[in-house]
Amino acid sequence: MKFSRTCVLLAAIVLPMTLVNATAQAADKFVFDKAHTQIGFSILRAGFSNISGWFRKFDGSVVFDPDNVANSVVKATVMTSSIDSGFEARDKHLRSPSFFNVKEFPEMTFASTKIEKTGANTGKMTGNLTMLGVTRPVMLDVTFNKMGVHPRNKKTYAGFSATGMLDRTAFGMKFAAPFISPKVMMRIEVLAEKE
Amino acid sequence: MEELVYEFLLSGIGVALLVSVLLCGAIRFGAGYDTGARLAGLAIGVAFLVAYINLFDWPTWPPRSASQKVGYLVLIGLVAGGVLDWLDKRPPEITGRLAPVLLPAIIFGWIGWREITSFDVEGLMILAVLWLAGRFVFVRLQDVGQNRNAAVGAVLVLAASVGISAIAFIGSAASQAQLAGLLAAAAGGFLVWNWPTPRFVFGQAAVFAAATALTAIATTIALYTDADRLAMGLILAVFLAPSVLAFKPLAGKPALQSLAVGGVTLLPVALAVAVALIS
Repeated sequence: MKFSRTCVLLAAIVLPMTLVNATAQAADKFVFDKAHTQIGFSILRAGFSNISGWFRKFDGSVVFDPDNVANSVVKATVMTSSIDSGFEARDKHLRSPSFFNVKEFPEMTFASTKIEKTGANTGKMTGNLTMLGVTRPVMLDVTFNKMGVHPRNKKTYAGFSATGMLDRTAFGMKFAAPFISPKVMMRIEVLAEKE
Repeated sequence: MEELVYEFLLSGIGVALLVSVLLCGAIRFGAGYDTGARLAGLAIGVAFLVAYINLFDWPTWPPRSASQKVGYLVLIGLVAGGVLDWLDKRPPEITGRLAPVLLPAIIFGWIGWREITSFDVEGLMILAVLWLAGRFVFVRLQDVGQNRNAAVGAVLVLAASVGISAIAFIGSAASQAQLAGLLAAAAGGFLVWNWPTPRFVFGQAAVFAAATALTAIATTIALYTDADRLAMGLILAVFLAPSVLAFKPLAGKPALQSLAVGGVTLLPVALAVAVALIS
């Protein structure tokens, strides 16, 4: 009787721990491969043409659960001084307090708060973007491209594409709006390596 | 750059100039000969803030960036000086000496709190130099405020703001160039009423608002932009220009006095802009 009670007690402790461990294993952590990840943007200027660019320095991670994407979590930090629009004079202006104010706000961060599956390999990701000291929710349409073992280095990678739109004026970046559109198109390509 | 010109001329400078001119007249005629003339200097700070709100919107509390803090700081300076003008008082001896020490300290403490709390040596050195510069500007404007020729104070603020605006623009800090441009236009509106014949008083509201705006804008430029700091320092020489008033041929000729002071300010402004362009 005493033995069976001890067994039940042990089971009550061990079983939940096993389940927790199983959940943790199902969601693997990946870190951004900086050589093959691009965080880009595009903005309409005076209605004539779109100016595109990207950030060259960033860090990020994805806790990815392919069986239940709602369990997944994405975090990213972008160094705003690394902005590159392909034209140095414009980049200086973009780094100034008129736009990214990089000396006062050297980082821009994103943390996902909700991920919903919308198709076989697509989803909607909502998260908090902090830019210029202001935090606002943004939504990204995400496509899961592929997860697998690299044929040469045998490491496991996952690849995602994401697009979304944000209103820069909501973050206090109001310079020359609406001449330079308040809407900024984001295009993000992520290759993430399993830790 | 077209967008900057558009914003600069229409939304910025145009609004500040118009509000300053109209408000100066409204205060003078609304409040009467003596009180109106004494309070007309309020128009400089008010015009700056109206144009600031038109361009950037009034920042929610607490302000996040240094540029957002500029609005609150100018408001504090304007209210402090406005109260003294309303009460028809110059600051008593003790506060007269304390204000040029405390106001720049408040500006640097608030805008430069990151540099102070992180003990960033370069940032702290810049803040120390800026504090001395802010104190100097404040004291010089207070001295000029005692001059019967109100145009002289406006000329100094106009020249310094134009110089700072140009240096900021050359340093790719367009929004700081805009801020300085707004102050230049606001001072210009006051000047319209006071040249060639001085009519109003460059009172405490004008001194406090203009000194606070100049110091706060200069601090954001020095700390958070790539604009040339040596060029910014050269702008301080603008405030030495009233020394020219000691020349006897200018005595009793306010229109000439203003022109002479304005002419002398061109030298440090041109030199500072040249340094900014070369560096």
